[in-house]
Amino acid sequence: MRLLWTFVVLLLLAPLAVTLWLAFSPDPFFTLPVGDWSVRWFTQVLASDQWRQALIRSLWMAALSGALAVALALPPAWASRAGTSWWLAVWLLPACLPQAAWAMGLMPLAGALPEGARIVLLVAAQALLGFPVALLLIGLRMDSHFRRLLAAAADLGASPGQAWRRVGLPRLLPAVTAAFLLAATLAFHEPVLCQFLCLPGGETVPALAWPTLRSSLTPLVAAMASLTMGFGLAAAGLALWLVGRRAR
Amino acid sequence: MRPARANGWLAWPALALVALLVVPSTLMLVRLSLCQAARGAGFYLADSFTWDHFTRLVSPEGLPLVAFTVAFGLAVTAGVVPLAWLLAWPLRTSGGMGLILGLLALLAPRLAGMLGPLVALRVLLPRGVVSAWLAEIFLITPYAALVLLVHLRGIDWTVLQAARGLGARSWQAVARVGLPLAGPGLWLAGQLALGWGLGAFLGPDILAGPAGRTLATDLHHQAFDNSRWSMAAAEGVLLLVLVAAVYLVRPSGWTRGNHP
Repeated sequence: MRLLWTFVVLLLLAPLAVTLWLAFSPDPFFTLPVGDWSVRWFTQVLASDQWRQALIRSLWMAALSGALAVALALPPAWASRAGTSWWLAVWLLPACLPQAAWAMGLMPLAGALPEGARIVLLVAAQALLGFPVALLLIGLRMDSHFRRLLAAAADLGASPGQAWRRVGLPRLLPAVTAAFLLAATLAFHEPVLCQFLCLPGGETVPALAWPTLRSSLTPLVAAMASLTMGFGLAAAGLALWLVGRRAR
Repeated sequence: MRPARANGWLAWPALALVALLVVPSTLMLVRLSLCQAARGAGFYLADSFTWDHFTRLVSPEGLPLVAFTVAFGLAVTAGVVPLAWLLAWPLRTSGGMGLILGLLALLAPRLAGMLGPLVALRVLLPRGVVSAWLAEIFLITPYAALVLLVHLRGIDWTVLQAARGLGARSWQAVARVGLPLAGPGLWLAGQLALGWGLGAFLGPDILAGPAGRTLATDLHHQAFDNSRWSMAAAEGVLLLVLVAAVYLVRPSGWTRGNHP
């Protein structure tokens, strides 16, 4: 069974390795490099204003989405009733909706908004996709032990603010950071909402890569895909390490 | 400092944002689907009403699209659930760093984003429905495995040892005890796979082309290529109804701690 598990995991990871390999191809055709390796596509994609702007836009929008997801998750994580099945269904609703249909419904609303508000709408929608993950991670940390520690601090004379600042927040910080990283990672990679809602010239990386993926693929996309994979895996690895430190 | 067990109002900001982004967009989608297409600028003809778009979807012209979407969703589910089982089963009793590393390996394909795998699949696979099917299985399996894993970790697996102690062979213990206990988790993973399979957009759009058009990809095509926003909205409404039906169905008696 372990062997089969390893095989399936390797099968799932193989396309990531292939894309990374292709990105180092020295020629403009999709040949897997063996002898000669090149970083020319990484240089070109980062030199391109369009791609660089899209990458920067994706990163700050993801950061905003992650921060919003964490800010929204903190209060319901403290109110433990928000983990009941009714609430859970509400929290998972945006992620369960067919994204194309949801985005289609948001389009006329977005069309009536100025560009800045449209970006806020997209950031908020992407935050809702990462929100259940943030709620789960922060909710797990706000367990009964955490609550007892806060109560003990209060019994020893700390004001609510002091108890949170001296006891609560230091214990909560790894979970909050992990939640932020994972929610931001999910927003960073979100491909469908931005495809429908981004305006020309204001695309995120997935929206900009879309036409190329559909028609004529270039190694530039493989290079950008490798960069986004690197960002995503680094953030997710750090998040899981923070959670894992707690598990040990 | 008292735990805020009854402070349901703390969930209101998040609830308000969900309501703000989901309810108006759904209402707008329904309204748009029942309006006549705008001739010229705008999304729809104001003060108009028509069932035409839905009639077309259930006509011989539109039914193949709906049937293909449902068949594609079912095929994706059939591929995802066994793989999710294979991935989740060994991790059900792991702990500590073993579990974290297992989770990282499991979720890496998703946390790495869709762009990376889709570039490779686009290069490696020929265009066609089978490639789109494989891509969707690739994209959905990690999430389904995670959902199943959460369920499996809530079960006391010493019952398997008990079954073996009572003379059952290894496969018998899994088939007669493990699978029924995992039933609700498998059902949930299947629901997730079918819900996302019905709404499949990425795989069919990039790898299948016009031959493998689903409701979600046709919706995009109608809106952006044909400017038929009302038709696209009708397809969106139908998709929402199909997906809602998938999530609302649950075999009676399948709750945690009350396994068949």
